[in-house]
Amino acid sequence: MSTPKAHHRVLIIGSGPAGLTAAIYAARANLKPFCIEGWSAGGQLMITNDVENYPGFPEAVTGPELMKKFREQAARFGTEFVTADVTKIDFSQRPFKVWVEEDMYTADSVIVSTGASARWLEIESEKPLMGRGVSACAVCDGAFFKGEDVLIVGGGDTAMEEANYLTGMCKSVTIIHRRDSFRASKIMADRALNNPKIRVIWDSAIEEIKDIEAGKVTGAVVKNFKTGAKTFVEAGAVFVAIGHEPNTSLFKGVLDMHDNGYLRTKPGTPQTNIEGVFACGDVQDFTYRQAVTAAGSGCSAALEAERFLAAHGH
Amino acid sequence: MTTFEITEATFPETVKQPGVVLIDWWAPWCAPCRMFAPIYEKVAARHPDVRFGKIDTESQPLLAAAFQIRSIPTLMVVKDGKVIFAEPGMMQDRPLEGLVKWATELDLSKVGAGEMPARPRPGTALGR
Repeated sequence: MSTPKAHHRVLIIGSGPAGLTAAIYAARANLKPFCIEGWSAGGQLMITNDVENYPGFPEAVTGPELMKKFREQAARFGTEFVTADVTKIDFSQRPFKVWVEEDMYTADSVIVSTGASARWLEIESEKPLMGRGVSACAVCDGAFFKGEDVLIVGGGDTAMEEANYLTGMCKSVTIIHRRDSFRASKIMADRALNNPKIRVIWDSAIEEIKDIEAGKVTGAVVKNFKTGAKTFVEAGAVFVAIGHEPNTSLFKGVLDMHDNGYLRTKPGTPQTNIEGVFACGDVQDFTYRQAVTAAGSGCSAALEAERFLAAHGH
Repeated sequence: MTTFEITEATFPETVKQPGVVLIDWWAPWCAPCRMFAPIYEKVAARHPDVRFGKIDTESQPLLAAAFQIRSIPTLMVVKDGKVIFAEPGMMQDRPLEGLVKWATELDLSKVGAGEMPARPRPGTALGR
C-alpha cells in the first residue's frame, strides 16, 4: 500500500555537499526543492574532523559545521527536508515516484546525490572482530588503544589523516598499503611519511586478523604481493581506510552504471540515462571525490533540472 | 529529556531495575555517535516505558573498560539485569525500533545463564 504524499518539481535524494548545493540553487530558482536527506544526513563530511581544502575557510572548518551551514543556506531559500532513507523508486514514467517506506512522493525531476560509504576489507576474520579492535573510524575508537601498536590499512588521504591522528595516542602506527606509493595528496602523504611514529609496509595486504578465539585483535597476517612472504604483525587494533563504494543499490537496473557501480552520466553533464533524472556528487564521481567538486556538480544538476523543467512546461 | 546519562555511581542501580534499558556508549569526539544521538532521542521519545541510557566513555573510562568497549557508538541492551545485546555501529530508526520491540518481547526464561539470545539481525550497522 502506498500513501501518495505531495508532488514536487525537484526531489533531491541525499544531503551531502552535492545534494545541498543542488537544493540551494533549485530553491533560489523558486523550484521549492524537496530533499529526502537520509538518516546519514550531511554525508561523509559529518564524520570528517578538519576540512582544510574547502575554499573560503582558511582556518579549516569541521565537517559537521560546514554541512550545517550548507543545510541552513538551503533551508533559508525554502528547501523542504525530510529525514529518512528512500526505500524504493520508480523512474519508468513521469512523474517519477519515490518511496520512503509507505509514503510515496512524486516529482517532475529527481536529483540523485546518495554519495558513497566506507568500504571494509571483506575478509572472514574482520566482522567477528568489529568492536573488538577492528574499526573504520580512528577518530572514534583510537582512544581505546592508548599506548598500543595499531595498524591502518589504506593509502588515501583518509588513511594518512587517521594515521597521523593515531600517533597522538598510540605507541606506533603501521600503515599497510597494497601498492608501492600512496594515492593520497602529497601534503598528506608527506606528513605521514615524515612522522617518526609511523612506518609503512608497502605492496601488502592483510590476509587474516587475529585472534577471534581471544575475542580481540592481537595482530594480523600480512602478505607481501611481490615476494609472497607472510608475516605476523602484532597490534591491538586494525583501522580500515580503504576508500568508498557508491550508494547505488536503489538504482540497479534503472540507472546506467559503470562496472564499479558508480552512476554513469553523460560526460561533462549530470544527465543520467533517464531524462529528468540527474546525478551529482560522489555517487557518480570516482575520480575527484572532493567536497568542492561534489558541490560543483550539485550546482550543475540543479541548473540542468531547471532547464529540463522549463523545456517540458512544468 | 527522554534519554539519560549513566555514570559509575548510577550504573548498578540503573541495570538492576527490572525491565529493558538500552545503553548508548558514546564520546564527544565521535562523529557517528553525534549522528546517532538524534535517532536515539527520537526512538526514545516513542517508548516512555523503556529506559534509554547513555554512557560517555570519556568521562566513564572504568565502565567502558569493564565492558570492554573498543568501538563507539556501541549499543547495548540490558533486560532484567542481563546483557542481551551488544553491537558496535550506529543504527537507523527502523532497525532500532525492531531491536526495542525484540528486547521488550524477549522471554528471558528461555535464555540460559551466560548465553546471548539469538536475534534476527535488525539491519545493517553503519561504520564511519
